[in-house]
Amino acid sequence: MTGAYLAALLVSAAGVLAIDLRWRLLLGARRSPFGTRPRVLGVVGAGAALLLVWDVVAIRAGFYGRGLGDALVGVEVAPHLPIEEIVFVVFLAYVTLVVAAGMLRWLGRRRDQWPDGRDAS
Amino acid sequence: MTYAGLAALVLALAALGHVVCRAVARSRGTLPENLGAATALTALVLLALTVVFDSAMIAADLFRFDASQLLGVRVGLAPLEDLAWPLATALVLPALAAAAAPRPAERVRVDGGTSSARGERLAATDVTLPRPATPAGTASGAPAEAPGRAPARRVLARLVGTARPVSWINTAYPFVAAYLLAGGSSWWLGIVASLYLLVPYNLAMYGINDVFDHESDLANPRKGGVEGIVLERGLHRTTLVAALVTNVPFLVVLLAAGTTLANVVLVVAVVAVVGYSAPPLRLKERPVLDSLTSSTHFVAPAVYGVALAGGAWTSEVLAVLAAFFCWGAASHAFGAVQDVRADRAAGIGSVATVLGARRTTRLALAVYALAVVVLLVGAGWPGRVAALVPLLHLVNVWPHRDVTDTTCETANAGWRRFLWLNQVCGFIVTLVVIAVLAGW
Repeated sequence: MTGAYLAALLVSAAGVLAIDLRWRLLLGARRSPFGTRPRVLGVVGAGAALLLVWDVVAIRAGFYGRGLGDALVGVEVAPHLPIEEIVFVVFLAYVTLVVAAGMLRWLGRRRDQWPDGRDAS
Repeated sequence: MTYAGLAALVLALAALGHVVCRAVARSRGTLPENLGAATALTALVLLALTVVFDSAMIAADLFRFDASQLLGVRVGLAPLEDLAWPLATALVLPALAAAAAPRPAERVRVDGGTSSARGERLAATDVTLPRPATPAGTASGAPAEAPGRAPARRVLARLVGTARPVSWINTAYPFVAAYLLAGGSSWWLGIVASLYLLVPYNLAMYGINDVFDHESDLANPRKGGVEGIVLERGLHRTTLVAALVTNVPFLVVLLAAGTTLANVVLVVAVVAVVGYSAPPLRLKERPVLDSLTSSTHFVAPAVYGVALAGGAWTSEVLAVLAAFFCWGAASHAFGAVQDVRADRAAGIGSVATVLGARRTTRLALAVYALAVVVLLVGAGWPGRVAALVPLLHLVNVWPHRDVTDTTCETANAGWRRFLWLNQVCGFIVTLVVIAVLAGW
Protein backbone atom coordinates (compact mmCIF):
# COMPACT_ATOMS: atom_id res chain seq x y z
CA MET A 1 0.00 0.00 0.00
CA THR A 2 1.55 3.25 -1.11
CA GLY A 3 2.67 5.43 1.76
CA ALA A 4 2.41 2.70 4.40
CA TYR A 5 6.09 3.05 5.33
CA LEU A 6 5.84 6.82 5.72
CA ALA A 7 2.66 6.40 7.74
CA ALA A 8 4.34 3.79 9.96
CA LEU A 9 7.28 6.12 10.56
CA LEU A 10 5.01 9.04 11.48
CA VAL A 11 2.86 6.89 13.77
CA SER A 12 6.02 5.55 15.47
CA ALA A 13 7.39 9.06 15.89
CA ALA A 14 4.05 10.18 17.37
CA GLY A 15 4.20 7.25 19.79
CA VAL A 16 7.73 8.11 20.91
CA LEU A 17 6.71 11.75 21.26
CA ALA A 18 3.78 10.69 23.44
CA ILE A 19 6.15 8.74 25.72
CA ASP A 20 8.52 11.70 25.73
CA LEU A 21 5.79 14.14 26.77
CA ARG A 22 4.13 11.79 29.25
CA TRP A 23 7.36 11.14 31.16
CA ARG A 24 8.88 14.56 30.44
CA LEU A 25 11.99 12.89 29.06
CA LEU A 26 13.34 15.10 26.32
CA LEU A 27 11.11 17.58 24.50
CA GLY A 28 8.60 17.07 27.29
CA ALA A 29 11.12 18.34 29.82
CA ARG A 30 11.75 22.00 30.29
CA ARG A 31 15.34 20.99 30.64
CA SER A 32 16.59 17.42 30.34
CA PRO A 33 20.19 16.22 30.89
CA PHE A 34 20.41 16.54 27.12
CA GLY A 35 19.67 20.24 27.20
CA THR A 36 16.81 22.57 26.46
CA ARG A 37 14.39 22.04 23.56
CA PRO A 38 16.22 24.14 20.94
CA ARG A 39 19.50 22.35 21.62
CA VAL A 40 17.86 18.95 21.59
CA LEU A 41 16.30 19.73 18.22
CA GLY A 42 19.69 20.92 16.99
CA VAL A 43 21.32 17.66 18.07
CA VAL A 44 18.55 15.62 16.41
CA GLY A 45 19.13 17.61 13.22
CA ALA A 46 22.88 17.18 13.40
CA GLY A 47 22.53 13.45 14.08
CA ALA A 48 20.10 13.06 11.17
CA ALA A 49 22.50 14.94 8.89
CA LEU A 50 25.40 12.66 9.86
CA LEU A 51 23.27 9.58 9.25
CA LEU A 52 22.30 10.95 5.84
CA VAL A 53 25.97 11.41 4.94
CA TRP A 54 26.57 7.77 5.87
CA ASP A 55 23.54 6.81 3.78
CA VAL A 56 24.67 8.74 0.72
CA VAL A 57 28.20 7.31 0.93
CA ALA A 58 26.82 3.77 1.18
CA ILE A 59 24.35 4.32 -1.67
CA ARG A 60 26.99 5.85 -3.94
CA ALA A 61 29.32 2.94 -3.18
CA GLY A 62 26.50 0.65 -4.23
CA PHE A 63 26.14 -1.20 -0.92
CA TYR A 64 22.36 -0.77 -1.01
CA GLY A 65 19.65 1.10 -2.84
CA ARG A 66 15.93 1.62 -2.69
CA GLY A 67 13.71 -1.40 -2.98
CA LEU A 68 10.56 -1.76 -5.01
CA GLY A 69 8.14 -2.41 -2.15
CA ASP A 70 4.78 -0.77 -2.77
CA ALA A 71 4.82 0.68 0.78
CA LEU A 72 7.10 3.41 -0.57
CA VAL A 73 5.58 6.66 -1.80
CA GLY A 74 7.96 6.54 -4.73
CA VAL A 75 9.49 9.99 -4.39
CA GLU A 76 13.30 10.14 -4.41
CA VAL A 77 15.13 13.20 -3.10
CA ALA A 78 18.34 11.85 -4.66
CA PRO A 79 19.03 8.69 -6.65
CA HIS A 80 18.04 5.70 -4.50
CA LEU A 81 17.25 7.98 -1.54
CA PRO A 82 13.49 7.85 -0.97
CA ILE A 83 11.86 10.72 0.89
CA GLU A 84 11.05 8.29 3.70
CA GLU A 85 14.75 7.93 4.47
CA ILE A 86 14.89 11.58 5.58
CA VAL A 87 12.05 10.95 8.00
CA PHE A 88 13.71 7.73 9.13
CA VAL A 89 17.05 9.29 10.07
CA VAL A 90 15.29 12.08 12.01
CA PHE A 91 13.20 9.45 13.77
CA LEU A 92 16.26 7.31 14.58
CA ALA A 93 18.12 10.29 16.04
CA TYR A 94 15.09 11.30 18.10
CA VAL A 95 14.26 7.84 19.43
CA THR A 96 17.92 7.33 20.41
CA LEU A 97 17.85 10.43 22.61
CA VAL A 98 14.47 9.54 24.12
CA VAL A 99 15.66 6.02 24.99
CA ALA A 100 18.91 7.41 26.43
CA ALA A 101 17.01 10.00 28.50
CA GLY A 102 14.71 7.21 29.70
CA MET A 103 17.72 5.09 30.69
CA LEU A 104 19.27 8.00 32.60
CA ARG A 105 16.01 8.42 34.47
CA TRP A 106 15.75 4.68 35.12
CA LEU A 107 19.29 4.48 36.42
CA GLY A 108 18.65 7.44 38.69
CA ARG A 109 17.38 7.31 42.18
CA ARG A 110 13.73 8.04 41.72
CA ARG A 111 11.54 7.92 38.70
CA ASP A 112 10.69 11.58 38.92
CA GLN A 113 14.30 12.66 39.25
CA TRP A 114 17.26 12.98 36.98
CA PRO A 115 20.40 11.26 38.31
CA ASP A 116 21.76 14.47 39.78
CA GLY A 117 18.76 14.72 42.03
CA ARG A 118 16.95 17.49 40.16
CA ASP A 119 13.24 17.00 39.84
CA ALA A 120 12.22 16.15 36.31
CA SER A 121 9.99 18.88 35.00
CA MET B 1 35.86 -1.01 0.61
CA THR B 2 32.87 -3.16 1.51
CA TYR B 3 29.81 -2.18 3.54
CA ALA B 4 31.49 -3.83 6.56
CA GLY B 5 34.54 -1.63 6.08
CA LEU B 6 32.38 1.49 5.95
CA ALA B 7 30.44 0.34 9.01
CA ALA B 8 33.69 -0.30 10.92
CA LEU B 9 35.01 3.10 9.94
CA VAL B 10 31.79 4.81 11.04
CA LEU B 11 31.87 2.92 14.33
CA ALA B 12 35.48 3.94 14.95
CA LEU B 13 34.58 7.57 14.25
CA ALA B 14 31.49 7.23 16.45
CA ALA B 15 33.59 5.87 19.32
CA LEU B 16 36.02 8.72 18.90
CA GLY B 17 33.14 11.21 18.79
CA HIS B 18 31.69 9.67 21.93
CA VAL B 19 34.95 10.09 23.82
CA VAL B 20 35.47 13.65 22.64
CA CYS B 21 31.88 14.65 23.47
CA ARG B 22 32.20 13.12 26.93
CA ALA B 23 35.38 15.07 27.55
CA VAL B 24 33.68 18.28 26.40
CA ALA B 25 30.61 17.58 28.54
CA ARG B 26 32.78 16.85 31.56
CA SER B 27 34.73 20.06 31.17
CA ARG B 28 31.51 22.06 30.73
CA GLY B 29 29.88 20.45 33.73
CA THR B 30 27.04 18.95 31.67
CA LEU B 31 28.04 15.27 31.81
CA PRO B 32 25.14 13.31 33.31
CA GLU B 33 26.03 10.72 35.89
CA ASN B 34 25.58 7.22 34.42
CA LEU B 35 25.93 8.38 30.80
CA GLY B 36 28.14 5.35 30.09
CA ALA B 37 25.62 2.87 31.45
CA ALA B 38 22.76 4.72 29.75
CA THR B 39 24.64 4.60 26.44
CA ALA B 40 25.25 0.85 26.79
CA LEU B 41 21.61 0.16 27.63
CA THR B 42 20.39 2.44 24.84
CA ALA B 43 22.58 0.55 22.39
CA LEU B 44 21.05 -2.75 23.53
CA VAL B 45 17.48 -1.41 23.12
CA LEU B 46 18.22 0.04 19.69
CA LEU B 47 19.97 -3.17 18.59
CA ALA B 48 16.87 -5.16 19.47
CA LEU B 49 14.62 -2.67 17.68
CA THR B 50 16.91 -2.74 14.64
CA VAL B 51 16.88 -6.52 14.36
CA VAL B 52 13.08 -6.50 14.41
CA PHE B 53 12.31 -3.47 12.26
CA ASP B 54 15.22 -3.74 9.83
CA SER B 55 14.03 -7.26 9.13
CA ALA B 56 10.49 -6.00 8.60
CA MET B 57 11.70 -3.22 6.31
CA ILE B 58 13.79 -5.63 4.25
CA ALA B 59 10.86 -8.04 4.04
CA ALA B 60 8.74 -5.14 2.73
CA ASP B 61 11.38 -4.50 0.07
CA LEU B 62 11.96 -0.90 1.16
CA PHE B 63 15.62 -1.25 0.29
CA ARG B 64 17.88 -3.86 -1.22
CA PHE B 65 21.49 -4.81 -0.62
CA ASP B 66 24.21 -5.73 -3.06
CA ALA B 67 24.84 -9.21 -1.68
CA SER B 68 28.40 -9.25 -3.04
CA GLN B 69 29.29 -6.33 -0.74
CA LEU B 70 27.93 -7.99 2.40
CA LEU B 71 29.66 -10.27 4.89
CA GLY B 72 26.67 -12.53 4.50
CA VAL B 73 25.83 -12.80 8.18
CA ARG B 74 22.23 -11.94 8.91
CA VAL B 75 20.45 -11.44 12.20
CA GLY B 76 16.86 -12.08 11.24
CA LEU B 77 16.89 -10.53 7.78
CA ALA B 78 19.11 -7.66 8.89
CA PRO B 79 22.68 -7.83 7.58
CA LEU B 80 25.20 -7.73 10.42
CA GLU B 81 26.59 -4.47 9.03
CA ASP B 82 23.28 -2.69 9.60
CA LEU B 83 23.73 -3.15 13.35
CA ALA B 84 26.38 -0.44 13.14
CA TRP B 85 23.52 2.06 12.73
CA PRO B 86 22.02 1.69 16.23
CA LEU B 87 25.48 1.34 17.78
CA ALA B 88 26.75 4.52 16.15
CA THR B 89 23.68 6.57 17.05
CA ALA B 90 23.75 5.32 20.64
CA LEU B 91 27.44 6.17 20.91
CA VAL B 92 27.25 9.62 19.40
CA LEU B 93 23.87 11.25 20.02
CA PRO B 94 23.46 11.13 23.82
CA ALA B 95 27.10 12.16 24.31
CA LEU B 96 26.74 14.91 21.72
CA ALA B 97 23.56 16.19 23.36
CA ALA B 98 25.26 16.17 26.77
CA ALA B 99 28.18 18.11 25.33
CA ALA B 100 25.85 20.64 23.70
CA ALA B 101 23.56 21.07 26.71
CA PRO B 102 23.53 24.52 28.26
CA ARG B 103 25.85 24.89 31.21
CA PRO B 104 24.07 24.32 34.46
CA ALA B 105 23.03 27.38 36.38
CA GLU B 106 23.75 27.31 40.10
CA ARG B 107 22.25 24.01 41.05
CA VAL B 108 21.56 23.20 44.65
CA ARG B 109 21.05 19.68 45.76
CA VAL B 110 18.78 19.10 48.66
CA ASP B 111 20.57 15.96 49.78
CA GLY B 112 23.96 17.57 50.05
CA GLY B 113 25.66 16.02 47.05
CA THR B 114 27.12 17.93 44.14
CA SER B 115 25.97 17.92 40.58
CA SER B 116 28.78 19.57 38.69
CA ALA B 117 31.01 17.41 36.55
CA ARG B 118 33.86 17.98 38.94
CA GLY B 119 31.65 16.75 41.70
CA GLU B 120 30.70 13.68 39.74
CA ARG B 121 33.32 11.56 41.35
CA LEU B 122 32.36 12.76 44.78
CA ALA B 123 28.74 12.07 44.01
CA ALA B 124 29.60 8.59 42.80
CA THR B 125 31.54 7.96 45.97
CA ASP B 126 28.88 9.39 48.17
CA VAL B 127 26.28 6.87 47.11
CA THR B 128 28.71 4.03 47.65
CA LEU B 129 29.88 4.65 51.17
CA PRO B 130 30.15 1.34 52.93
CA ARG B 131 27.18 0.32 54.88
CA PRO B 132 27.05 -2.62 57.20
CA ALA B 133 25.44 -5.53 55.42
CA THR B 134 21.81 -5.93 56.30
CA PRO B 135 20.79 -9.28 57.76
CA ALA B 136 19.49 -10.26 54.35
CA GLY B 137 22.95 -9.60 52.97
CA THR B 138 21.78 -7.02 50.48
CA ALA B 139 22.66 -3.41 50.23
CA SER B 140 20.18 -0.79 51.17
CA GLY B 141 19.42 1.37 48.18
CA ALA B 142 19.92 5.06 47.79
CA PRO B 143 18.77 7.14 50.70
CA ALA B 144 15.49 7.86 48.95
CA GLU B 145 14.71 4.17 48.63
CA ALA B 146 12.96 2.14 51.23
CA PRO B 147 15.37 0.11 53.37
CA GLY B 148 15.81 -3.55 52.57
CA ARG B 149 16.49 -5.04 49.15
CA ALA B 150 18.13 -2.84 46.57
CA PRO B 151 15.80 -2.47 43.59
CA ALA B 152 16.73 -4.60 40.62
CA ARG B 153 17.47 -1.63 38.41
CA ARG B 154 19.98 -0.26 40.90
CA VAL B 155 21.67 -3.63 41.22
CA LEU B 156 21.86 -3.81 37.43
CA ALA B 157 23.27 -0.30 37.23
CA ARG B 158 25.89 -1.20 39.83
CA LEU B 159 26.82 -4.42 38.02
CA VAL B 160 27.14 -2.61 34.70
CA GLY B 161 29.25 0.05 36.40
CA THR B 162 31.35 -2.60 38.13
CA ALA B 163 32.10 -4.25 34.79
CA ARG B 164 33.52 -0.88 33.53
CA PRO B 165 31.65 -0.34 30.24
CA VAL B 166 34.40 2.07 29.24
CA SER B 167 36.82 -0.89 29.17
CA TRP B 168 34.62 -3.46 27.43
CA ILE B 169 36.02 -2.60 24.06
CA ASN B 170 39.57 -3.13 25.33
CA THR B 171 39.10 -6.88 25.70
CA ALA B 172 36.63 -7.59 22.88
CA TYR B 173 38.41 -5.52 20.27
CA PRO B 174 41.81 -7.27 20.40
CA PHE B 175 39.99 -10.56 19.93
CA VAL B 176 37.83 -9.37 17.04
CA ALA B 177 40.75 -7.75 15.25
CA ALA B 178 42.99 -10.81 15.71
CA TYR B 179 40.22 -13.23 14.74
CA LEU B 180 39.40 -11.34 11.54
CA LEU B 181 43.04 -10.76 10.59
CA ALA B 182 43.86 -14.43 11.20
CA GLY B 183 41.07 -15.39 8.83
CA GLY B 184 38.56 -16.75 11.32
CA SER B 185 35.78 -18.36 9.34
CA SER B 186 33.17 -19.38 11.88
CA TRP B 187 30.89 -16.41 12.32
CA TRP B 188 28.87 -17.74 15.22
CA LEU B 189 32.02 -18.70 17.11
CA GLY B 190 33.50 -15.25 16.54
CA ILE B 191 30.33 -13.57 17.77
CA VAL B 192 30.02 -15.79 20.86
CA ALA B 193 33.67 -15.20 21.78
CA SER B 194 33.48 -11.45 21.24
CA LEU B 195 30.30 -11.18 23.30
CA TYR B 196 32.03 -13.18 26.05
CA LEU B 197 35.07 -10.90 26.01
CA LEU B 198 32.86 -7.81 25.78
CA VAL B 199 30.87 -8.23 29.00
CA PRO B 200 31.19 -11.41 31.13
CA TYR B 201 35.00 -11.41 30.98
CA ASN B 202 35.06 -7.82 32.25
CA LEU B 203 32.43 -8.48 34.89
CA ALA B 204 34.64 -11.30 36.18
CA MET B 205 37.82 -9.22 35.98
CA TYR B 206 36.54 -6.06 37.63
CA GLY B 207 33.87 -7.66 39.81
CA ILE B 208 36.35 -10.01 41.50
CA ASN B 209 38.79 -7.14 41.69
CA ASP B 210 36.33 -4.80 43.40
CA VAL B 211 35.20 -7.41 45.89
CA PHE B 212 38.71 -8.29 47.02
CA ASP B 213 39.92 -4.71 46.80
CA HIS B 214 37.16 -3.32 48.93
CA GLU B 215 39.33 -2.25 51.83
CA SER B 216 42.15 -0.66 49.84
CA ASP B 217 39.70 1.05 47.46
CA LEU B 218 38.04 2.81 50.35
CA ALA B 219 41.34 4.38 51.28
CA ASN B 220 41.91 5.56 47.73
CA PRO B 221 40.07 8.70 46.60
CA ARG B 222 40.96 7.99 42.97
CA LYS B 223 38.67 4.98 42.89
CA GLY B 224 35.02 5.72 42.47
CA GLY B 225 34.86 7.63 39.19
CA VAL B 226 35.55 6.59 35.63
CA GLU B 227 38.79 4.95 36.71
CA GLY B 228 37.28 2.60 39.21
CA ILE B 229 34.24 2.11 41.26
CA VAL B 230 33.97 1.33 44.91
CA LEU B 231 31.61 -1.55 45.33
CA GLU B 232 29.42 -1.55 48.38
CA ARG B 233 29.77 -4.60 50.53
CA GLY B 234 26.18 -5.73 50.19
CA LEU B 235 26.67 -6.32 46.47
CA HIS B 236 29.74 -8.53 46.82
CA ARG B 237 27.90 -11.83 46.74
CA THR B 238 25.63 -10.65 43.93
CA THR B 239 28.66 -9.57 41.91
CA LEU B 240 30.50 -12.87 42.29
CA VAL B 241 27.37 -14.86 41.46
CA ALA B 242 26.68 -12.66 38.42
CA ALA B 243 30.26 -13.13 37.22
CA LEU B 244 29.99 -16.91 37.61
CA VAL B 245 26.57 -17.16 35.97
CA THR B 246 27.53 -15.03 32.97
CA ASN B 247 30.94 -16.63 32.45
CA VAL B 248 30.31 -20.35 32.75
CA PRO B 249 27.88 -20.84 29.82
CA PHE B 250 30.15 -18.92 27.44
CA LEU B 251 33.22 -20.82 28.62
CA VAL B 252 31.48 -24.18 28.19
CA VAL B 253 30.53 -23.34 24.59
CA LEU B 254 33.92 -21.87 23.73
CA LEU B 255 35.90 -24.73 25.26
CA ALA B 256 33.70 -27.26 23.47
CA ALA B 257 34.22 -25.51 20.13
CA GLY B 258 37.87 -24.49 20.36
CA THR B 259 41.08 -26.25 19.41
CA THR B 260 43.42 -27.44 22.15
CA LEU B 261 45.69 -24.45 21.67
CA ALA B 262 42.76 -22.01 21.78
CA ASN B 263 41.46 -23.68 24.94
CA VAL B 264 44.85 -23.42 26.64
CA VAL B 265 44.96 -19.70 25.84
CA LEU B 266 41.41 -19.19 27.09
CA VAL B 267 42.20 -20.97 30.36
CA VAL B 268 45.34 -18.84 30.79
CA ALA B 269 43.22 -15.71 30.25
CA VAL B 270 40.62 -16.76 32.80
CA VAL B 271 43.28 -17.74 35.34
CA ALA B 272 44.91 -14.33 34.85
CA VAL B 273 41.54 -12.63 35.32
CA VAL B 274 40.68 -14.52 38.51
CA GLY B 275 44.22 -14.73 39.89
CA TYR B 276 44.87 -11.04 39.46
CA SER B 277 42.86 -10.07 42.49
CA ALA B 278 41.51 -13.23 44.11
CA PRO B 279 43.50 -14.89 46.89
CA PRO B 280 45.59 -16.98 47.17
CA LEU B 281 47.32 -15.80 43.96
CA ARG B 282 46.42 -12.11 44.17
CA LEU B 283 48.97 -11.37 41.47
CA LYS B 284 48.18 -7.66 41.56
CA GLU B 285 50.15 -7.36 44.77
CA ARG B 286 53.16 -9.23 43.42
CA PRO B 287 55.52 -6.68 41.92
CA VAL B 288 56.27 -7.12 38.19
CA LEU B 289 53.89 -10.08 38.00
CA ASP B 290 51.14 -7.48 38.49
CA SER B 291 52.02 -5.67 35.27
CA LEU B 292 52.53 -8.89 33.34
CA THR B 293 49.19 -10.29 34.48
CA SER B 294 47.37 -7.08 33.68
CA SER B 295 48.83 -7.06 30.19
CA THR B 296 47.78 -10.69 29.79
CA HIS B 297 44.15 -9.62 30.36
CA PHE B 298 44.23 -7.68 27.10
CA VAL B 299 46.77 -9.60 25.02
CA ALA B 300 45.34 -13.06 25.77
CA PRO B 301 42.09 -12.22 23.90
CA ALA B 302 44.18 -11.33 20.84
CA VAL B 303 46.22 -14.53 21.11
CA TYR B 304 42.95 -16.40 21.58
CA GLY B 305 41.61 -14.78 18.41
CA VAL B 306 44.54 -16.05 16.35
CA ALA B 307 44.35 -19.50 17.94
CA LEU B 308 40.58 -19.82 17.53
CA ALA B 309 40.83 -18.76 13.89
CA GLY B 310 43.59 -21.31 13.31
CA GLY B 311 45.79 -18.48 12.05
CA ALA B 312 49.46 -18.84 11.16
CA TRP B 313 52.00 -17.76 13.79
CA THR B 314 54.08 -15.68 11.41
CA SER B 315 56.87 -13.43 12.63
CA GLU B 316 54.64 -10.41 11.94
CA VAL B 317 51.86 -11.81 14.13
CA LEU B 318 54.30 -12.60 16.94
CA ALA B 319 55.88 -9.13 16.70
CA VAL B 320 52.49 -7.42 16.99
CA LEU B 321 51.48 -9.59 19.94
CA ALA B 322 54.83 -9.02 21.67
CA ALA B 323 54.58 -5.25 21.18
CA PHE B 324 51.00 -5.29 22.45
CA PHE B 325 52.19 -7.17 25.55
CA CYS B 326 54.98 -4.63 26.12
CA TRP B 327 52.51 -1.79 25.76
CA GLY B 328 50.10 -3.37 28.24
CA ALA B 329 52.77 -4.07 30.86
CA ALA B 330 54.29 -0.57 30.53
CA SER B 331 50.88 1.05 30.80
CA HIS B 332 50.01 -0.94 33.91
CA ALA B 333 53.34 -0.10 35.53
CA PHE B 334 52.91 3.60 34.82
CA GLY B 335 49.35 3.42 36.13
CA ALA B 336 50.69 2.12 39.44
CA VAL B 337 53.06 5.08 39.85
CA GLN B 338 50.33 7.51 40.93
CA ASP B 339 49.33 5.12 43.74
CA VAL B 340 52.81 4.58 45.22
CA ARG B 341 52.12 6.51 48.39
CA ALA B 342 48.54 5.29 48.80
CA ASP B 343 49.58 1.68 48.21
CA ARG B 344 52.49 1.88 50.62
CA ALA B 345 50.29 3.45 53.26
CA ALA B 346 47.81 0.62 52.81
CA GLY B 347 50.60 -1.99 52.85
CA ILE B 348 49.93 -3.05 49.27
CA GLY B 349 52.75 -4.05 46.97
CA SER B 350 53.01 -3.15 43.30
CA VAL B 351 55.71 -2.85 40.70
CA ALA B 352 55.90 0.84 41.57
CA THR B 353 56.13 0.46 45.36
CA VAL B 354 59.09 -1.87 44.90
CA LEU B 355 60.97 -0.04 42.17
CA GLY B 356 59.93 3.45 43.25
CA ALA B 357 58.03 5.99 41.17
CA ARG B 358 60.91 7.25 39.07
CA ARG B 359 62.44 3.91 38.16
CA THR B 360 59.00 2.48 37.34
CA THR B 361 58.21 5.41 35.07
CA ARG B 362 61.52 5.08 33.29
CA LEU B 363 61.05 1.34 32.96
CA ALA B 364 57.67 2.02 31.38
CA LEU B 365 59.31 4.46 28.97
CA ALA B 366 61.89 1.83 28.03
CA VAL B 367 59.27 -0.85 27.49
CA TYR B 368 57.18 1.49 25.32
CA ALA B 369 60.34 2.16 23.30
CA LEU B 370 60.87 -1.57 22.99
CA ALA B 371 57.34 -1.92 21.62
CA VAL B 372 58.06 0.81 19.05
CA VAL B 373 61.20 -0.99 17.91
CA VAL B 374 59.54 -4.41 17.79
CA LEU B 375 56.73 -3.04 15.61
CA LEU B 376 59.04 -1.11 13.30
CA VAL B 377 61.33 -4.08 12.80
CA GLY B 378 58.95 -7.01 12.90
CA ALA B 379 55.43 -6.02 11.96
CA GLY B 380 55.84 -5.46 8.23
CA TRP B 381 53.63 -3.11 6.25
CA PRO B 382 51.07 -1.74 7.16
CA GLY B 383 51.45 -3.16 10.70
CA ARG B 384 54.46 -0.89 11.11
CA VAL B 385 52.13 2.12 11.25
CA ALA B 386 50.91 0.82 14.61
CA ALA B 387 54.29 1.81 16.07
CA LEU B 388 52.63 5.21 16.41
CA VAL B 389 50.66 3.81 19.34
CA PRO B 390 53.49 3.03 21.78
CA LEU B 391 55.25 6.14 20.49
CA LEU B 392 52.30 8.33 21.51
CA HIS B 393 52.26 6.65 24.91
CA LEU B 394 55.98 7.27 25.24
CA VAL B 395 55.37 10.95 24.57
CA ASN B 396 52.52 10.95 27.08
CA VAL B 397 54.63 9.49 29.89
CA TRP B 398 57.81 11.42 29.02
CA PRO B 399 56.95 14.56 31.08
CA HIS B 400 56.75 12.34 34.18
CA ARG B 401 60.21 10.80 33.81
CA ASP B 402 61.55 12.68 36.86
CA VAL B 403 58.61 11.94 39.15
CA THR B 404 59.55 11.01 42.70
CA ASP B 405 57.81 8.94 45.33
CA THR B 406 56.67 12.10 47.11
CA THR B 407 55.24 13.64 43.93
CA CYS B 408 53.83 10.37 42.61
CA GLU B 409 50.28 11.76 42.54
CA THR B 410 51.29 14.13 39.73
CA ALA B 411 51.45 11.06 37.49
CA ASN B 412 47.66 11.02 37.65
CA ALA B 413 47.64 13.75 35.00
CA GLY B 414 49.49 11.38 32.69
CA TRP B 415 47.10 8.59 33.59
CA ARG B 416 44.08 10.72 32.77
CA ARG B 417 45.63 11.57 29.40
CA PHE B 418 46.32 7.85 28.96
CA LEU B 419 42.61 7.05 29.24
CA TRP B 420 41.62 9.17 26.27
CA LEU B 421 44.85 8.67 24.35
CA ASN B 422 43.88 5.00 24.39
CA GLN B 423 40.78 5.81 22.37
CA VAL B 424 42.83 7.71 19.80
CA CYS B 425 45.17 4.71 19.61
CA GLY B 426 42.21 2.40 19.11
CA PHE B 427 41.31 4.57 16.14
CA ILE B 428 44.83 4.26 14.71
CA VAL B 429 44.83 0.50 15.21
CA THR B 430 41.42 0.28 13.54
CA LEU B 431 42.71 2.07 10.47
CA VAL B 432 45.63 -0.36 10.31
CA VAL B 433 43.29 -3.33 10.70
CA ILE B 434 41.04 -1.98 7.91
CA ALA B 435 44.11 -1.45 5.75
CA VAL B 436 45.24 -5.05 6.28
CA LEU B 437 41.75 -6.46 5.70
CA ALA B 438 41.41 -4.37 2.56
CA GLY B 439 44.70 -5.80 1.35
CA TRP B 440 46.55 -2.51 1.01
